[in-house]
Amino acid sequence: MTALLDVRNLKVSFVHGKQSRPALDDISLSLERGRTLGVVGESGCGKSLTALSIMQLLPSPPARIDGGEIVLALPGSSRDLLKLTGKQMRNVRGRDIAMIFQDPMTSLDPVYSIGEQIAEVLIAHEGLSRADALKRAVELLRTVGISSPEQRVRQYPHELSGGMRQRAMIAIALACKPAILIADEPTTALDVTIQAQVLAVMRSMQQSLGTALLLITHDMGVIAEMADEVLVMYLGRIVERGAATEVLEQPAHPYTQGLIASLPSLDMPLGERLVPIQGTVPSLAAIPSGCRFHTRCPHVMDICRTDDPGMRAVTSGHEAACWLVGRSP
Amino acid sequence: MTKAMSDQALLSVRSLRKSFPVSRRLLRRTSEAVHALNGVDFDIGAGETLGLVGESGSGKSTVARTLLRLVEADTGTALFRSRSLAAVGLPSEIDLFSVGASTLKQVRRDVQIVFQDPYSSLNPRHSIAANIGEPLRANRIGSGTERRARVAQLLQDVGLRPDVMQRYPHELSGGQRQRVAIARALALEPDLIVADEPVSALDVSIQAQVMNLMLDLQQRRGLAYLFIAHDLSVVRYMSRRIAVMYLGRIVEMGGANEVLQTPRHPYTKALIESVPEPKPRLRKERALLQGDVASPMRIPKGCPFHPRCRYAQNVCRSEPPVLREITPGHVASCHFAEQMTSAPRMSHSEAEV
Repeated sequence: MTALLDVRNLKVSFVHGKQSRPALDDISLSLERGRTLGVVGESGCGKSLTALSIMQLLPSPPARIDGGEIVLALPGSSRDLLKLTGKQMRNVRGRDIAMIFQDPMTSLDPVYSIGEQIAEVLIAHEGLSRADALKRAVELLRTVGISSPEQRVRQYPHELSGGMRQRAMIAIALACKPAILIADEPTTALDVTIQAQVLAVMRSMQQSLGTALLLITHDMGVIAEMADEVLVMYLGRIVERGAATEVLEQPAHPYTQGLIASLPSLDMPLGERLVPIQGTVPSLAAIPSGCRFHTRCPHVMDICRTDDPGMRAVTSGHEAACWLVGRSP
Repeated sequence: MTKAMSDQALLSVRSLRKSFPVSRRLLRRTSEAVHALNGVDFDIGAGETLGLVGESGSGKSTVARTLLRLVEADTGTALFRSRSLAAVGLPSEIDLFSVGASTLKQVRRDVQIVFQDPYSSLNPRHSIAANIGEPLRANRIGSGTERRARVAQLLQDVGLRPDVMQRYPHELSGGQRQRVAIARALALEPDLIVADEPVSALDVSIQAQVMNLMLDLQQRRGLAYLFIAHDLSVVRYMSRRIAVMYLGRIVEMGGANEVLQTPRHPYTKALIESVPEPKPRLRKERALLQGDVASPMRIPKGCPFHPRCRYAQNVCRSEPPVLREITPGHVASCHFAEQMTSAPRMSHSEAEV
């Protein structure tokens, strides 16, 4: 299957005066129709920055794209998003690629009703009349599982609960049946019972529309629920990638192993201790030499301090950036 | 339940209620109220952790705030065995909700709180040393030199390097700041720490470090915790006993294993099923909980959970269920708690089939 979206060797840095700090280094990923790619990592690893780069919504300055390409391949056209004009990119956003954020309250406009906000997208991209667009809005709210959509469509964001607002965001995002949906921590602000509902809505929408989903989260549990493939990021780099089942069950990179070992689970024996990763994430101003994780790695060797391992194959389709990978025991 | 304190309890809370009046429009008439706590009872033993779990609006943070008298309870008692009062020859068993200001100041040495966001609970204009030393200074404990030595020791206890002392809160990471907040809570050697979502703002690897620190401190100092969180796995990791809150009530409470393996309340069951676990092979076919939590301004009649409950019967719509002991030490408030026995979670062996 050919990729809908191909990010190749993307490099982004933050520029402060004459200083520049690399924030994303050599990020490559691809999204396929109907599939979910999960991106996981801790704060500052660059996962949200990757999403914003694709949407061309980077705060610039200070962010600057130093290289790479982001190819959107739709039937009959293949374009590098980094070469589009502002106007062309506005046509891509919302129609071909939609995005939902963690906090729906800041992405919804408080002075317009939910219906008007959904209609706006349909009027702008599909040229519907206002009346038709509002009719479609009711249907969309119904499909994302909002009860009595005829009333809800007239309500304002503050009148809805957090879970409802996030459903409304999903309705807006999917209004034009985009080929790609980027969801940045879509359920992080929600209670678990509501998170389960919203994830179910996202999954059923994906199945009926064939949307490719880029799901960014810090929550390994959400990755396990949703993702087909997973990327693990650390300090602006991808450190491990592969099928979600494989990466979560047989993590090859010590960082991924550490993340999983840090998570308490409901069925761990009482009194058993977690083994967290030591130390904290270094700042982008002081990226360690060699392997970026070596300062916190329990298996650190001399070579890790000086040489960058690059991606090494674990099994076919599963790679990790670690000197221990592929080495004979 | 009786008002008498059981022998081992450090803290014994009974019939705790709190509502917040809501002013409407311009006239500020207070006709409505948010019913945050509607009769909460629990005990915490010395050196024990009670984990309090619930979703937003369940009232778990209000419990924390009433105990510290940051908001005043409407009714109820919180009998507490105070070591500092005993040390100065006063009656040691007091009601936290009714003691006067001077006694309260004394008792605050024994009960401390740690909040979710250490950045807003630390003074940004004071150095870390001054932030940690503040409770010592406020209580006039030790000389300047003694206090400095004590602060250095506290920093070491929470795993921070001594050079952090002269830094300011904004220079530290979230995890380091939470360690500072814990060090400050420990300064007066309390017997009970109320921890309100202490790790939920932290990244997973840092979250595990801080939880392990809290467990170590508990072992070394015999601390008791009221550990409040929305994350069931986090609460489970920290606590031997768990209380589940819904709309201002404890709906289930008992040993962590009993509550998680044989939940007696449908809400607990739904909460357990909703937790996504990082094991793709365990992808659960779950019965989703319908709807949202009801507004604490309009708590449903009968059982407050009935509009979302998949087992709701007529009796649930009219009669509020009583919190009662189902098995020894395991209480639940569901009309059908005795019949709820099925384990909601797939075991690993089943998942492999």
